[in-house]
Amino acid sequence: MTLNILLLIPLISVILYVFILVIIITSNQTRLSKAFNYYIVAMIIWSLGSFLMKTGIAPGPLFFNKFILQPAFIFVPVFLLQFSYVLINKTGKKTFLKWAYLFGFFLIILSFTGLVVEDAWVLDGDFDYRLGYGAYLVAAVSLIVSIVAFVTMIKAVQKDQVNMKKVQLVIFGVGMVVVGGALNIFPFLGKYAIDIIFNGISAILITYSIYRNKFLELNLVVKRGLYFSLYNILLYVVYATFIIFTYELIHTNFDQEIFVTVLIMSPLFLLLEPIRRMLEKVSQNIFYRASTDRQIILNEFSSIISSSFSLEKITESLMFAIKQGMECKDVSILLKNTNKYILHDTTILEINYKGSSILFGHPVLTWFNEGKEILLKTEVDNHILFKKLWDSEKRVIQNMNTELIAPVKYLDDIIGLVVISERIDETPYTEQEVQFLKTILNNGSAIIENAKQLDNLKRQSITDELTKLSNHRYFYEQVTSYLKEESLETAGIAIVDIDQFKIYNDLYGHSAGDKALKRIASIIEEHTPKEALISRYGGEEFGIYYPNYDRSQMLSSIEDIRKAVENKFLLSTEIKEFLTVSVGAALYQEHGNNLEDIVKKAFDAVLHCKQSGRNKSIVYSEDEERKDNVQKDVQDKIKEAYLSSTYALAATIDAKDHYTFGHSNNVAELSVALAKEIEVIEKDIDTIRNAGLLHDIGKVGIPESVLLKRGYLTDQEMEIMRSHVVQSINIIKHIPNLVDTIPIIISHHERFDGGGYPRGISGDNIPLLGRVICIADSFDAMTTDRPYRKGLSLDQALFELKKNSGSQFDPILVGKFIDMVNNGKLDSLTLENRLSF
Amino acid sequence: MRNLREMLRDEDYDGIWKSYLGFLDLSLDEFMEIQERLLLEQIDLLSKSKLGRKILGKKTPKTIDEFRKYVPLTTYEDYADTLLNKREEDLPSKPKHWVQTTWKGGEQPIKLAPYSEVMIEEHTKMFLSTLILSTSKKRGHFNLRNFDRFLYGMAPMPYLTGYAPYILKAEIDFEYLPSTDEAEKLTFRERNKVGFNQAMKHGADLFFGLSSVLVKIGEAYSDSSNSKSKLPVPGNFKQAVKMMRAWYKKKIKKQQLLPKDLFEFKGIVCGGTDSDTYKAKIEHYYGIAPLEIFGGTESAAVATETWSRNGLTFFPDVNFLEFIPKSELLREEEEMEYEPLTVLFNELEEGETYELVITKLRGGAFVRYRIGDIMKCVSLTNKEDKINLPQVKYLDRVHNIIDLSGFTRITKQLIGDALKLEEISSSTWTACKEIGDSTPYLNLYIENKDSLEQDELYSRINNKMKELDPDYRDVHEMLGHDPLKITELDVGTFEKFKESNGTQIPPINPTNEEIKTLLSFSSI
Repeated sequence: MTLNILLLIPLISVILYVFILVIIITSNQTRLSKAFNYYIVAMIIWSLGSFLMKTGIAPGPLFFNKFILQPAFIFVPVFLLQFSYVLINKTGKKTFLKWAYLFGFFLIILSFTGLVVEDAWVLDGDFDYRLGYGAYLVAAVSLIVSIVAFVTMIKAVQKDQVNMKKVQLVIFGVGMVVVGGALNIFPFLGKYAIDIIFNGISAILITYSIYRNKFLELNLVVKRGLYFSLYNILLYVVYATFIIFTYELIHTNFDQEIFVTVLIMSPLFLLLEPIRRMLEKVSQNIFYRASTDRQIILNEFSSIISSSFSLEKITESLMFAIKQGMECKDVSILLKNTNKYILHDTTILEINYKGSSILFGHPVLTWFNEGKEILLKTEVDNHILFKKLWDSEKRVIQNMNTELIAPVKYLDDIIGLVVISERIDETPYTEQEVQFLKTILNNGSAIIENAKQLDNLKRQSITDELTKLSNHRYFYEQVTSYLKEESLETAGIAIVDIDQFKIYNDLYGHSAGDKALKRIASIIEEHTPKEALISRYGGEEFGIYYPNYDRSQMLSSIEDIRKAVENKFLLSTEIKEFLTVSVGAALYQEHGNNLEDIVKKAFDAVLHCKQSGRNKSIVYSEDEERKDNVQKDVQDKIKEAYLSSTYALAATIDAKDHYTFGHSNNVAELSVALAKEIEVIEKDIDTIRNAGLLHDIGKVGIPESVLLKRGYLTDQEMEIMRSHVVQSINIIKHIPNLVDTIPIIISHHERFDGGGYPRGISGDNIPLLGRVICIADSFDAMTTDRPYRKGLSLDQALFELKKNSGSQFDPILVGKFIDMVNNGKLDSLTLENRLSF
Repeated sequence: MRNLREMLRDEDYDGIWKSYLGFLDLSLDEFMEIQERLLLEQIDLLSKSKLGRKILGKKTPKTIDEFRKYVPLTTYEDYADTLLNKREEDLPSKPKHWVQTTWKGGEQPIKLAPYSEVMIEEHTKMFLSTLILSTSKKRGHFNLRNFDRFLYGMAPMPYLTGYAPYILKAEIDFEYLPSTDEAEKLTFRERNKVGFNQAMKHGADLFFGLSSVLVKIGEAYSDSSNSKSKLPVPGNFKQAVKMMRAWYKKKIKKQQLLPKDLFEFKGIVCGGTDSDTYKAKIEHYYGIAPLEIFGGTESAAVATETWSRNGLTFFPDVNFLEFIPKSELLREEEEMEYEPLTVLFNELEEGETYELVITKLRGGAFVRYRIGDIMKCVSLTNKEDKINLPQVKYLDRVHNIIDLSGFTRITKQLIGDALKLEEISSSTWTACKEIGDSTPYLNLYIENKDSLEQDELYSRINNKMKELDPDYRDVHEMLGHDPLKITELDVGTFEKFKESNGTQIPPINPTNEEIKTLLSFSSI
């Protein structure tokens, strides 16, 4: 046996295939890798058979051909077909494959009979063989099966079932198998093991493709081992080929002694050094693709973040680094807030920032709090923990194109989440890439936390604490600089002023007032374009700067805000919500060239809104101002008509029940008298008169069966009866000029000891005028006849007032009222339906 | 998200198990966490819809306790106006399908239940969980595969079971017997027949049907195969071998042929009332024990059996579960307008009987809804199957209904109407379900005041009931089963019962004790 190049080819092939088999077996076993295993095992047997056959050792080439080479040779295309089916995820029946198996077994039997290869021999180191007729059948079947495998993949590519990039090398490899197999039909070529060479190249291409496309994943140790093995094998192949070739060249041409040959050859090895380097690079590139690049990315990221304190810049660099290092389509960063993780930045263009947040208590956070480092989308889909995800939460994960989520941890606290979409080439992430992600997040977490803190501080200094909008100072500075620096043709400033906010505050307290301010701030934010700047301008005023907005755009924007507030407050069923806003706006250039002038005009517009009945949105106009003045009279008349109809409505309540006829008027008269007695300001006198007239207006909504019932009311009826207070407010809150009566009306059934309704407030918490009207209301009710009792006499009524002083009534006010009665001041009042005295 | 088809293709069996049957590994606390979190989502969705606001009341509950305290228990009447008029805009989520069922004793003949896209996905997933389990012999192992042949004997669309083949198509490739296209052109009975013939020819892997239908098909086959009918021509080698064996058994050994001689099912899933009664028969005919799935039109899939067939395990994310204990049900019967209290899944007690109350999750319409199913908690864990969740058995419909084989629900009204229209003078009678020879039937205890011949009495009542209730007629026609039995009593028996007990015997579902007492007053 002589070691020549023809013998070397199958031997190298065996080594190569074993090497590939090790790669596949030591990787995670997928359906694809399993299918490929069969192919490789067949190739090993084929090459081994070829090698043994060419050595000429006993029991002889024909034996190795028939019983080792041929069975493997026949099944290579069959396994290749099976592999192609798996690769393209073929579903449905695989009838052709079944037939291919059947034919395969038949051809093996044919081969055993000697009809495929009739004889094979090694003569003087040269291997040769003689084919039988069966060989043509084997060739035909193998060719057909290989072509079907080839066509299967081509078709799948054409139908877009698989990505061409993924399978191009495989298709090329299979093509080589087809050609190599076909060449065997010519013994003069077949004896040179061209088929083995072609198959070897094919196997390398397919293996590379499997690895490159992440059809299987290698663990790090195996990978390292394989890298050295591949490098050494390639080196061995190149050196061996070089030695044999050079030796034969020197030996045959120059007939030199061996030591002379060695002497000549040795310097030549130096020439191989560049090739060795190239091989090292190739091997390294195969297994450690981009690993050096990732190191560079990490270094660059570290240098950027160490020189920057800007949160924006740091997160932007982080996203850029991750996108490069992981070759992913998109990256999103969510940062921890007071109650949730909000989307801070993302590379996804079409995304709703506000809708993309993760609340505390979210299963994703539970996952990381349990110590897990990475969350894959497949885990979100399959793990039982995520059964509790809300559909809206699932949509958030989906909208961020999530493939992988990693926490940004700082001192055991999850300060943020990084959401990564799939890779650009749609292959799974490798362990190295995940490792890179962990490293970069570890490196960046402390810096992100610091920048976040700094950003918070900065933000606090320019943010209104309550509404989280910009504060006045920031607004002023920013807008002044915008107007100066940017060559704007037009821009607008709007001032949003909450109507009747003082009343709201007095009525429900400052805490409720703050809540209302926050809600209105968020409504404004919701209805203001992204490019605008919103600020809390003053107590209940908001300023908005609209760059490049003209009059019509301004009007439509501020009207949106007004309507939204009206819908959420005034038109809601909650009695509390009577707030509205007046929005005035003015335009840059048209109404002034500096902020002060424009703001002043905007405030003028607000004033117009207020004067014309509030809950309006107006863009400043001098014409409008004139028109407003002209219209003021008309509006006053409308207002009067409005009030008249309301009083008429109130009168219908009294008319409904003749026993209470004139009650509203009497309560108004008595309340005004008492209010004057305690010397309230003039404006409040008007307010309490109106309140007295309207305090029972809600009774229009009470069924007559309850309202006019003779005898005691059941609990349920009492409940209905009591609802008239709420109903009154629901009516009055829609009449802008009467809103200031709300605190009084809502309190007229409150008791001084807190036992009243609807709010059950006590003492000084009940507005003063509310306590006044309560006395007037009770006094009038006591002294008029009712269906179930006669009206009390004046003395009896005063006795009742005294008796309930401090419990139902304010003791000081009761004292004043009694004095007033005793002083005969009632006589001067025009009281109606007064039968009892 | 990969569907089952893709996961099977990738041979990701662990992933499939985790995804579809991971809930079997939940602890009770984990189960409740899922329930509570998803209920909060549902409350949120409800509060944004007109129907939801109507049911929830003025104040939207913020916690589970508030939800149970302030939201009343509901029945279909509370939804009828919205659902029967298909007012989609009033619902918490947009429906994709309107699933129908009969409404016995209701204001309308049918009930409709909306199913949104997400609800359909969830229901499909639960149904697949049961199918996978039916082919499983131990945890983590199953042999459900793409292209399995699936024989199904269920009602057509728009009934819930009729949707099964269509909604499964998005998840997995089954070969339906008969194909859905073919099935659409056939009646229920023809479909079963064609499907069964195709299964005999080509083999079948999965079988899903109402328990009573499975038994009926089994019976019909056993009877016909032992007559002179021929075995069909096998469609593949495997079936050919089975046919040979069957032929040998029938012709040489002269033994009776059963469906199991021709089939080797991977799994059988059964459902419907009386499943427990029919299971032994199904196993006898088909060779493997069926796996019960429990569900309904309004609730979708609710629970499934596991390997030991020792009780049903609830799915955690389809319905929020509440249970009315028997003591509360009794109190409700006694006190007018009493709203019974419920217990939660983690408060079930072994051996107790409960009425199930569901709140449909994932944007469903039904809130604290009484489906009318009575269940018994058989154990708090299933040690054999290593499941740490309470196990229940489905007992029957609520007390005032007699459900026969999952086909029909007999009410007091139906029997009363039949007697009245036939002018049979019997003001008093009582009826209940009894089990005889593994088949449930309706026993009507009645005084024969008109002294009619027994056959005449029987046929008049039976025919009238068939006329009044098509579902009752289907029990005869489709199952070939005569479910009515009449027990004649002496005239005056009911009066004697009343004298002795102080109250009249209930017309529907009296207790065994009450029947015994009643019979003791009659000499017949």
